[in-house]
Amino acid sequence: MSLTDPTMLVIFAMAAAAAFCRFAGFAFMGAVPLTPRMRAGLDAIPLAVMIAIVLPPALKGSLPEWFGIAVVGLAVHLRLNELLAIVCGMAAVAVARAYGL
Amino acid sequence: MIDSSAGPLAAGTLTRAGISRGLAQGLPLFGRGFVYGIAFGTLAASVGLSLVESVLMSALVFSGTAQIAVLQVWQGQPGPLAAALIVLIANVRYFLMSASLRPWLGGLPAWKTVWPLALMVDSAYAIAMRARAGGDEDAGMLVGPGLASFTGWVLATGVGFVFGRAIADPKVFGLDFVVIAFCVSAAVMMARSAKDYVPALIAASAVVVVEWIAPGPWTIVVAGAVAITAGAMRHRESEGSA
Repeated sequence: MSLTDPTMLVIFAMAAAAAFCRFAGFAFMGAVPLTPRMRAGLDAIPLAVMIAIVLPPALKGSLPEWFGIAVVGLAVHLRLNELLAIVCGMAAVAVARAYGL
Repeated sequence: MIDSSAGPLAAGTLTRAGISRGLAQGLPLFGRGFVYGIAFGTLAASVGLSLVESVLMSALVFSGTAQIAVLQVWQGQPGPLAAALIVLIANVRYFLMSASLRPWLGGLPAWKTVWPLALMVDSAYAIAMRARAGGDEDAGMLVGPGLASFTGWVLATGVGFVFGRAIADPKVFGLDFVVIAFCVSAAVMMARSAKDYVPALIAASAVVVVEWIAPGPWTIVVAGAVAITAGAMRHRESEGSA
């Protein structure tokens, strides 16, 4: 196996693409002026991304996932420790699945 | 609480204490990365990669969905270009997420921004954004969880390659739910400190529509693009000349 082996070239190309995705947005925002309006736009991204990750599986919606999401949401809302909230959610999903929901 | 009124140079920090805090918060990501790594390692062995190639790919690319997508077409011998394109499409959401880190990490010296960016994955980003919404400005809250996830992912790629077929279905333990759980928790925290719900509501509607028409990896990208546009436009509305 050498560094110019076809498989290695594929791996390096994939690595470059992944790095580009992680660094380019940050670099790009360094080149354009960060106006308050731009900042307001950027600050709106994280919550939207979270929603976009949670909503699709929730929409496909089998009961265990719904149950787990409700448990985590409630636990965090009640200001439970985050790790505990996550573990409660996983347990809720596992239990619901074990009962064939 | 997050102080958005501070100037654009209000910068985060990156400290060893922050990384430790992030590691502690991100510990479940080790388990999650491990589970996905087992799945990937098993798959990599079955399509004919070597152990070294599999582990190297996981360490350099560090993206489960992208790597699994490439291996799914591995029998067709994808060239470097095709493989890179698949990774770009699977990870294009990172472009927006990394852009959203600029207001936070833009003031750090370049070498300190390398680690949070290189280790950014969905769940680590969720933890970091949640911490930031709670007033923790330390980029260690992104580096720590990213490191936990990375370690589990790379280790398990090797373990899965060697022992993959012997391990039971992770779904039984709800391990596949970890990312969603983190994101729910982050969303609740962020919603609590958000000044403006409208961009998130519009983004949520966009997600529903996209999922209805053409579900897939573009959903997150569309949500991010919609949110940045709505957020920027609403800013002009509410505060006049910026």
